[in-house]
Amino acid sequence: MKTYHWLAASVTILALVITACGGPPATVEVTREVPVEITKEVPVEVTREVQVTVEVPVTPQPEAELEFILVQHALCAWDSFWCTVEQGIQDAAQQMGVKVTVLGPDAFDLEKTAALIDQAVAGRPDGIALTVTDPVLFKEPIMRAIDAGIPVLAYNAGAGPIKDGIPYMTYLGQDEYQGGYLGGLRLAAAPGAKAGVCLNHQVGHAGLDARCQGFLDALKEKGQTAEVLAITNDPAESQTIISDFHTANPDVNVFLTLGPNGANPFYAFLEAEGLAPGEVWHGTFDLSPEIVNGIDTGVTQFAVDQQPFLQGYGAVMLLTLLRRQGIVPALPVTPTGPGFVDKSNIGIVKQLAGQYR
Amino acid sequence: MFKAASRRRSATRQLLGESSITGPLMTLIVVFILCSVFVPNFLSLRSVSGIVNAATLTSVIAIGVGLLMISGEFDLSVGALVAVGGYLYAFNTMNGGSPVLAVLLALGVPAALGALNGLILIWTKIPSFIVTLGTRSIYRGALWVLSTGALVQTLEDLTIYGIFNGRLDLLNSLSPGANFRTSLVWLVGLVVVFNFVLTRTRYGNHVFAVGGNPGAAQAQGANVNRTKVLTFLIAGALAGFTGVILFSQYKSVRVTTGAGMELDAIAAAVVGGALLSGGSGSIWGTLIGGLLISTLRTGVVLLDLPFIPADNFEAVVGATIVGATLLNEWVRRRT
Amino acid sequence: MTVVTRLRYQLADFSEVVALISFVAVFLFFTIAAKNFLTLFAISNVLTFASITGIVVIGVAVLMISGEFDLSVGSTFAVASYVLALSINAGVAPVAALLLALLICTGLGAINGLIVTTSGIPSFIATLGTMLAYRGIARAIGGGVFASYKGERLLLFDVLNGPMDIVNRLSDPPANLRVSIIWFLVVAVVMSWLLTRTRYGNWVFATGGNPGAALAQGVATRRIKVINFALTGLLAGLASMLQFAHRASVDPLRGEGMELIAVAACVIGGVRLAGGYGTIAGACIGMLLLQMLEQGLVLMRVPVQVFQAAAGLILIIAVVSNLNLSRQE
Repeated sequence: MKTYHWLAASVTILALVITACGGPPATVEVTREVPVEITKEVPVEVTREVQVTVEVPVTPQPEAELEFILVQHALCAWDSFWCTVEQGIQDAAQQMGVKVTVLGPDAFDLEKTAALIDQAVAGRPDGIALTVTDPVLFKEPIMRAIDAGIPVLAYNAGAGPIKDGIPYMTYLGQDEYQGGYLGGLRLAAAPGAKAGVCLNHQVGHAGLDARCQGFLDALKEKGQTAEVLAITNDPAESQTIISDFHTANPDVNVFLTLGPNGANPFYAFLEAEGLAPGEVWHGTFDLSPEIVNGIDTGVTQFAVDQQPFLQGYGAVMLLTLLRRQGIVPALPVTPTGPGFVDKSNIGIVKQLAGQYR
Repeated sequence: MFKAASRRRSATRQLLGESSITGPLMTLIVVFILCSVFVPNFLSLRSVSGIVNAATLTSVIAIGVGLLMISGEFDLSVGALVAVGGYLYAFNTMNGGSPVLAVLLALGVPAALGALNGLILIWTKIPSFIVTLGTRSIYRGALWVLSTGALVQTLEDLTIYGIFNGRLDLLNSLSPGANFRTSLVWLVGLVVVFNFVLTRTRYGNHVFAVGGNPGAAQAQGANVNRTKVLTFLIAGALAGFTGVILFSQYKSVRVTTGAGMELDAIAAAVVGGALLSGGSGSIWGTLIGGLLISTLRTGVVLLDLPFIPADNFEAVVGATIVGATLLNEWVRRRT
Repeated sequence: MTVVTRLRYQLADFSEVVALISFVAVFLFFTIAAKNFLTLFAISNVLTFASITGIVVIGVAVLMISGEFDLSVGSTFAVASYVLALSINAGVAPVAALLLALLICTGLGAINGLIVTTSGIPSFIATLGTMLAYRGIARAIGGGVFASYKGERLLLFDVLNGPMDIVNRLSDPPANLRVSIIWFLVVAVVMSWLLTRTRYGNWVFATGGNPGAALAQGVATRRIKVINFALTGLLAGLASMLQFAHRASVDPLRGEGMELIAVAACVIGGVRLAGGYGTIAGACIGMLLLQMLEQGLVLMRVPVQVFQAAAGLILIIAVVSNLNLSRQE
């Protein structure tokens, strides 16, 4: 009996050692591999001509009753950034008199999102708008939609039909890499900035990874070190991860968060540690009431705004205009950002954060 | 004086003899000492307060889950009940609502839903694991529909938030950087109360009996059904209370809040000595289990081993569960 | 005996028939209520998506019949894909990479089995621990980031999970049938045969139904359990390979939650939680039912908020009807 106990115990220890020996060093690195690089050419399969603008795929029907399905990789239910997007979607639907259904997974799961796209196509809606969070993974289901004659457009995540190699209508959103890069330059210029960390709450989301990559590149240009720290969508867990990281790396004083799901635990961490603005420098993406408060009180230097309301509203609007009047978007990328919200223009945004901004 | 001393000695021996705590407690002490010696920055009130905070939320739920496990049942829906409690509390404290009503609803509704779990269990005779696997989705889904998926957050800094999870400056003044919170006081209070309930009341006796041998318990006059439903009710109320504490600290709650907490709570209870088959365990053990997992996690991360990055602590938790359970078994067989 | 009672006794022997009744009921409901449900495309979606998790479900079902749980299947699933992706990217031959991944998964399953059988820890707890530990392994070998294969389309992938274009072209839009459905069918038939027609199958039922008696009769219950755990690991690995062959990318959270979906599918299919009772066919029907539910709700344009509640309701209703229809009293 006793030998078996030792066997089981050593097996457990072995498992732990295997786990431990597999990982990369947690020491500071300057760059970190990301699966999709926006700055380089993405090889485009030339099996199909990628069109810059679509031939109008349907005859315009001004009086048509329309219904669209939108597939997102995240939902308002677990990521408050999307509440603004969904508000835009619902407002547009109401104002244009169309029906919309918003689909998304219960947790960040790109495989599930791809499956939802397939299931949406089976429903033969009048149009599909979706987030091209991983162009490699989503290519097949999107092509199926396009082949079925359903107009497709990308919002919030993607790089445009040419760069993604998928002939959807247009990408309605911001250039993520640029946002990270410009934000990184701003933070690197802060007095006393030494080393930085990008808190990524959805590692694997090509857009978020690009933001971090831009940030890392910017800091490297300014001669500072930077790395990426993966946190989760759970605020309590994330706060603990950030706190432990800070204890182990006290010289890192530049923080970039990529949205409310990153900023909120970060604020909780600041409050718990009693750190004041000036001891650490913080920039974030997107807006929320807490982030607006952060900018107001000087804790946060800026928020990179991609105008999520416009993304949701615009997606529905563009699909409606296409179906009803045959109007097509002119360019492969229709930018909604990046814009910077900081102390100088926070006044405009204050009332609307969380709902319209 | 002689009599008092001997009474005191036998009480301690009785406590230690309650073997379900001995294993976990010894492990916790050993791990704490090892960490203090080998891990840099560990022995500071700051780290300790961090450990305690990380363990508090799980431990509160684990009290209820542990109680249920002793009675031989599971409740996988407690995570969803945390979100339900959080929402009710948030809605009723924001914008000048009545804090008393908020707390009552936040405790009452999850308690009722917990009791519903128990009732479904009794009516359908389906194992509680399956029942609560289903109700978990139903409760969360219902919350999703009723809240229209919106998340609730506030910037207000109300007194009631401070009561449930504000900074505990009484302890914090002892050391800069310490971050003890009032939720600790609540946790300790709940542990004391429920330990008393479990070990000194007739209901507590029934919980043990029902978990260990339902047939014999019934024969001895314990109302098995009533005990189980009551225990589910308590677990629900405690989950709702966790939602209260959570919202008081983070000032935001969303539909997916609490997802996964049920497994963490089970882990804490088991590491603390509760038997999966029922009939054995303790409330103090559950608390110790939660602290042990949290201590090991922080210790490993602070040790900054080059091969265990800060975001991979799950593996440590997993190894802890297996290792601690093995240890508990070994200690149990020795005593 | 009334007709109903006799029917009940007969149904007790065929729990999969009970599951089939639930399945048909839900199918009819969606045929009426959801537009485009009865199209080849929609049905192919259901079959293809169900086939991946379905293979995992088969393993979990066999294990449950022998009286044990495995909560670590989701993590094993993730490890398999990471091993495959990283090996192929490192230049290992695809078939060798595949075998390596399957071997590792079988090993992880065997470790589960050894922990459970030698230490006496209940499998629920042991695999709760290994679920986290194996997830840690997946994170560690992947570096915490995605891993994908971006090279030329491999023949191996087409064998594993290519699109069945001959059939797909019959519909417009082209349907979504993939080879994984065939793998699912093959595994189901093989495991079902093993379970009902071999001595090993007998032993599995005996171990789950009455371990004491089984041991007394000379059944090597420990070995059976370890084999079943290893089998569950192997099937999780196989399913992972099939999914990767379709969508060649894996993330650190891949497979999370799969273990509970698998348990739900088994239970809907009539596999008893306590062990000793159940069929592979039933578990497969359970999985198809859950997948059908999702596609049907999407087609009905039901808001995504309702999906979770619907799944939970179906679970409880199905289990209740299982118990009621086949009660042996």
